[in-house]
This record gives sequence, structure tokens and C-alpha cells, in this order.
Amino acid sequence: MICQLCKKTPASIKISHHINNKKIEISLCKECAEEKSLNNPLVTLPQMFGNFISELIGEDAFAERQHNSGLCCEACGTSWEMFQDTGLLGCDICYQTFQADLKVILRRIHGSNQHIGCRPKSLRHIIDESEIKNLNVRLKTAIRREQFEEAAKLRDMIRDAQDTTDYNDNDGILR
Amino acid sequence: MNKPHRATQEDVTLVGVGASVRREPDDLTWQFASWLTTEDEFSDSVLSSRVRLARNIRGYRFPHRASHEELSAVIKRVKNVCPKCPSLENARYIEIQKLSDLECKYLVERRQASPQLIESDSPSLLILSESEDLSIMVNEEDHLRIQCVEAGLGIDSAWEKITRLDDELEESLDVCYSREFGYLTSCPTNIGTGLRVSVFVHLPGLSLRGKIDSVLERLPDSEIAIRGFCGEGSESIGNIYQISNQPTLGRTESNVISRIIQTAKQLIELERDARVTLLEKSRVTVEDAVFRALGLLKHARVISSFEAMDLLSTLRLGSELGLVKEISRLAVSQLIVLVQPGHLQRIYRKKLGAEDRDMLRAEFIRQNLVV
Ligand SMILES: [Zn+2]
Ligand SMILES: [Zn+2]
Repeated sequence: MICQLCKKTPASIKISHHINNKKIEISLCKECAEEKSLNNPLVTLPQMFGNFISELIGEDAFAERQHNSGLCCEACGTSWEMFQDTGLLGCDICYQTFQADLKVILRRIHGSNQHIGCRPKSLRHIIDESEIKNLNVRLKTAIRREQFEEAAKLRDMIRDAQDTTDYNDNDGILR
Repeated sequence: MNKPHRATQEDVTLVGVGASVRREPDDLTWQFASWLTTEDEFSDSVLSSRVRLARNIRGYRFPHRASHEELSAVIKRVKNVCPKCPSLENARYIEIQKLSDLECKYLVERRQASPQLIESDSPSLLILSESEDLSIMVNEEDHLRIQCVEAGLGIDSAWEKITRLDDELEESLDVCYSREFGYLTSCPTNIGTGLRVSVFVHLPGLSLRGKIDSVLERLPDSEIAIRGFCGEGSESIGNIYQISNQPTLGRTESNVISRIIQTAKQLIELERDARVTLLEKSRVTVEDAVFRALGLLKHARVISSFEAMDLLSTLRLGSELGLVKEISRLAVSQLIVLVQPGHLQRIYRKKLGAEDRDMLRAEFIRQNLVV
């Protein structure tokens, strides 16, 4: 095996990655590994190896995705072909521009294309649809149990939540 | 079987820190961060844990597409905001482009900068909190890479610190976020939470028992990735593995954290069992491995970084099992860092070629293993 970085010296070490039940190996010579600090077990592997994306989702994933071919992000000038090459998007607007095909790729990478984690502090007071549904259920229960104080509180929460969800439902990207 | 070991001052001086590594006032890092000086109840099989968040600032292209001016503007913006964050009181702001190669390497080995950050020619910045557990890389793959490293399995504490800092930053920074995709990142593999949790586990027992491959291949959680080192013949080197979460979208932060902790604890359990079995059933094999490693480390004149990693790994097991009295487990963990190329060159205060490094590495280790 020849070192994958300098492509000259015989490799003396392999860095192995088990991802998604697949094994990806990178062979390096001692000099290159030390030069890039990849001899250090506590240093995280840089993304450059890899472009793990195509390894993760399979080369075919890009071939199937033709909606975006020829498309270019107006905000940053990144084209779909550039993304295919580097595995990197150019700006936040890219996610809107390439949304159709990205959704499929995101599903391949993460098994999901919907965020359910934390939100920025400024948006944390906003309650989303499912939470509103949940609040409505709690409201009905409260009324049935004649817990009117609780019901009033829940009604206010639902009203506030609906106010804030309306205006940002247009494109999913909050400005 | 492993009593928790609390780090003491002697442990630090034992590795020659007092003797060989004098703290010079010009040192970038004149103290050891806590991940290198403390231990917890899992330190028998965990070296340290790391939590990082990827964030981008709205209005600027992501670093690899941004112009110099844009990147400088990002730095200016961040420099403006950070002093308002209580978590960053007395933080240091280090401009990467002004550092020498050696200083850069040193920061990577301290795990405060990534190899990618120091290689970039464009404006980038490293922000180090006073206690050096928190750091922010500015203009790496994303505008902000916030990270926290803790000793042992200190993920909860790292998460608490990092999320507090994240909130403080969001008070004044408008970050790229979408309701659908969450936090937006350059690479779609980080989108959503932008959260990567890593645990660096030390599994020499499983390796000596010949079970490491089957354990890692059959890791119950398919969403967890493992990185390890092996030789050309696929024999494991060093037995230090990084386990980290793969997906970042469609999972909550707490789900990711608890899964990583669960997997780490399973590995710790298996490793502890393997060590007990080794001592019961093949004590001679362990002793032979440990004392061979000790012999080489004590007497060799040339040691490469990979050989050092492998031998020190076995020595750490020996120290842990009480077979080796010369050096404490914590001191071995520190040696693993101190014998890296950047540290060696800093200790000897000169730029060294690969051959000289291997010689001085052997010398440095010998000096630190004298009873
Ligand atoms: Zn090479
Ligand atoms: Zn774009």
C-alpha cells in the first residue's frame, strides 16, 4: 500500500473508520501522519479525507439526483456540481436552492431530514405544530376535569404559539 | 477492580514537567488543561471526552467560499461579541496566521486547534477560555467550531459548558438556522444539531484478549462511528479508539449524548471484564506484554511516534493493573501527549527532523521512567 497523502512512500499505518457498518481505511506513511498530526490518537480526522459523504451515501446517490444539475446558488455562486466535488455547501441559502435533492441526501446521511434538536435562543419561545396539538389535548383534558385555571393558561399559550408560527411558515428558513 | 485515582501534583512533575518542561512566560499554553491533569471513575478505560458544536453566522458565505474580506469581517464580529460572554472571561485570542508552524502543531496536540485550522492560509482565529477547556475555532470548516474537552467520561459537564457558551454567543450573533434543517453547516454531515460527541477509549485488554475486532464490529449502536489505528497487517496500534456520533439531524442533543455514554459504558464494561479475565487466565501473557513495553521504553534509543503510542498504551495498562510501579496511569496519559512531535520540539526548544525527534523521544521517555 502506498501512502494516500503523498502517493510516494509506502504506507506504514492504517486509520480505520467503522461507519454505518462499513469499514473505511486510510493508509498513510509515517512522515505524512506526523506532519498532519494524524499519528495522534486524540486528534480528530479532518474532513478532507474523505469526503466521507460519497462513502457514506454511495456514489450512486448523486447520479440519481438530477433535479439540481446545472443549478447554482444565487447568494454564493456554489453550483450543484461544486457541491458534488467538495461535499461542502457555500452558504445558508444553498440549503434552499438545492432543497429538493438535498433532502434525499440528508435522509441517506442521517436517516432523517427534519431537525428536532435545540433552537437558537431567540427562537426558543416559539412552539411548533406538534406542540400546539399537544397543548390542545391538554386543554381538552383540563376542561373535562374542570381545571379552569389550568385551561385558561393553556388557552393563552396556544394563542401565543399560533401568533408566532404563522409568520415563519413560508419557507422554513427563518430570517 | 480499579480504584478511582485522583491526580496529584506529583503526577504532573513525575513526567518531567517540572524538570524538562519549564513554563516560559511566552508559552502559548503555560498550564495543562484539566483533561490532562484530572481523572474520573472511568479513566481506567477512557482518556478523555470531547463535545463540539458547529455554527455559522448569517450574512457571510461559509469559510471555504468566503473572500478574505468576508473572513476578516467574521473574525471582527466574533471578537466583538466574545468579550460579552461570561464563559470567555479572560479568554485569549490567537491569530493563527501569526503563529509559527511549531506553535500551530503544539495547539493541535493540545486539541485546541484542528489540523485543518492551522493549514488554512486565510484569516482564522482561535479563542481559548482561561481554563483552556473551552475553545472556539473561527473560520475552520464552519465560521464557529465551539468545543470542550474533559477528562474521562466528562460529557455531561462538557455539554453544560458548551451549551452555556452557545447561548451566550447567540445573544449577539445571528446564526444560520432553519426550522427544517436546524443549524446549517458547510458540510451536510454536521447539519441539524451541529453536535459531535467523541469519547477516546483505551481498550488494551480487549486487544490482548484478541476480541477487539469482534467487539467493535458488533457495536450495538449503528449510529456510532469508531476510529482506530492499525499497522499494515491490521494489528491494532495503541488501542486508543475514538467513538463518536454519526448522524446530527433528526436526533435531539440529549438522545445523542445518552447514546454515546451508553456505548462508552458498554465498552468500559467489556474492557474491565477482559482485564479481569486476563489477570486470572493469562497473567503471564499480560505481564510479558507490559514488561516488554517497559523494557523497550526504558532502554530504546530511537522510538517513532507510532511505536511510542503502542508501548505507552501497554504501559498504561501495566500501571493501571498495578504491575508497573515506576509511573502512574495519569503520568502515562500525559506522556502520550508530551512525546508528540510538536511537544517534543517545544520541550527541546528547537526544530527537529523526524530522525532527531525519534531519538529525543526515546531520551525524554527514558528520563521520565527513572524510578
Ligand atoms: Zn505519505
Ligand atoms: Zn449558497
